[in-house]
Amino acid sequence: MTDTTMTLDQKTGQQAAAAPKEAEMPPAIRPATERDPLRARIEDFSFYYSNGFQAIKHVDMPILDRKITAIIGPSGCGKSTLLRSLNRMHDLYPGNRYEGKVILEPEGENLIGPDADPVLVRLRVGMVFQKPNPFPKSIYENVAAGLRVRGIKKRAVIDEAVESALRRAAIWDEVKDKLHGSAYDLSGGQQQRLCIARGLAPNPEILLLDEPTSALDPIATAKVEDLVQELSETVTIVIVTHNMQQASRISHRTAFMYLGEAIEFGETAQIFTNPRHPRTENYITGRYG
Amino acid sequence: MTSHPHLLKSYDDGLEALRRGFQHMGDMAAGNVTEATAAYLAGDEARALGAINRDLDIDAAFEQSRAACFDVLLRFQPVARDLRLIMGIEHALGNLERAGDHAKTIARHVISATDPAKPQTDGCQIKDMADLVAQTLSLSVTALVTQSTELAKQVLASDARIDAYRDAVFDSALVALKQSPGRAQAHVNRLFVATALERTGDHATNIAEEVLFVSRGVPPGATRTG
Repeated sequence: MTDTTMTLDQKTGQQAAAAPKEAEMPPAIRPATERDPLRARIEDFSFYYSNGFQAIKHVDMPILDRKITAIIGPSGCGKSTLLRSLNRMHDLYPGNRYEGKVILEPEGENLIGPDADPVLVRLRVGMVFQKPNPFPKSIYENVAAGLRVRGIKKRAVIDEAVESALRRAAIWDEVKDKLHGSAYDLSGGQQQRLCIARGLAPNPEILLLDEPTSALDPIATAKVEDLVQELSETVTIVIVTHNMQQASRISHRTAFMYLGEAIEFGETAQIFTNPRHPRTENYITGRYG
Repeated sequence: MTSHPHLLKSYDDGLEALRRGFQHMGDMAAGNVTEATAAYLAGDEARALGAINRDLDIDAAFEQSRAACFDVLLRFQPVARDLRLIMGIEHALGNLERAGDHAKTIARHVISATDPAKPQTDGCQIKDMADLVAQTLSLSVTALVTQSTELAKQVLASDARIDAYRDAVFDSALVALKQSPGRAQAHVNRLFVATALERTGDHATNIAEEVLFVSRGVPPGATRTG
């Protein structure tokens, strides 16, 4: 077990311990080792929808720098809600409410704090959705969109950034001769890699992937999986997936969520071979009860 | 042991078939240890031939159970305890197959003996050792099928007793060799039989370590002391 491995039992055990002095209490998130520096810290994070429903309950989770963190759990457990919270997607609907902190390291900026601009947050924390959703524009303009939001106007700069993003998304060779053709003319797998390129163009620190291959065939899925692993050398990735084999294949850390709580977080190999919490075990082995 | 059933009934059925196949092979291997040793002690060539032939059945059961392991791996992509159980069974199958080979080795000493019809007069220790080995091997199989760490610990504890039997047989055989060198082949055969039984006990130990691996999720080497 690594420094960043913990289960709900351990957490509640800490809480249940007879009121230790504050200085003696273990930190909610254990300090990362030098080998595994943090890119973000989710601390005592809760999320409430506008109708008052609490979808996320006091989640603590480290997001390791340039690693892939997978979030798994049954439908309705809050994994996508948590993911969308990381780039303030819930702000688009009035009445939704965050509690706790999402600290972006090393600056220590709280992404859900009142001072954080949601638009800027989304440039620093990119997102790719379940279904490929390119804009009804050219391939070039899809990738350039984030750069224009950022205020970049110089054509040469945008050209270079578009090519770089498309190369990073492993789709450059397939689209370099039709950059000004419609994004809709691409296959589903290509559209999804284009969306990844669009997310990469503003050079985000974190890339969020919400079931990015669930609408793709196995060949396109394999390309996206390989791409995600390559990208993890340069960008921190958080992926929500229902495909546990995918999580075990590509992620370095895995979090299991259930009913809005982070039940267990640890190294992916540990989670899938020797989970600590019975709920994790039951879920990943396909048991009920 | 996780008691909840899988969402897929066929998954539970596949695992249950694996357990049944492993139990069946374990029964055959332990039974053949007893049978081969009885043939050796009685100097019964026909019985020894039967034990040798039954090793083919054990080998067939080994192939069948390995195929069943691959089938479950392929169809259900198991993880966590399920994965450990299948890996544990797959390794333990190899140990049972080797235990079957040792039984065959014992039976072969009956066939190769110069006077196989003559019952062994110094076979008391071998009989007791064989009983303990067969019992320990069966216990290890039950431990894995039921994922019982308690039974596995009993198996691990038996290994020292089995080794002590082997040492006693060696000591007595050395004395006998000096006292009656004319029956040297019989004494040497007894050493080989004791060695085969001791190695069978080692395979039971290996299976018990797999039980600890399945139950605790740490590599068998880390649990060698139980």
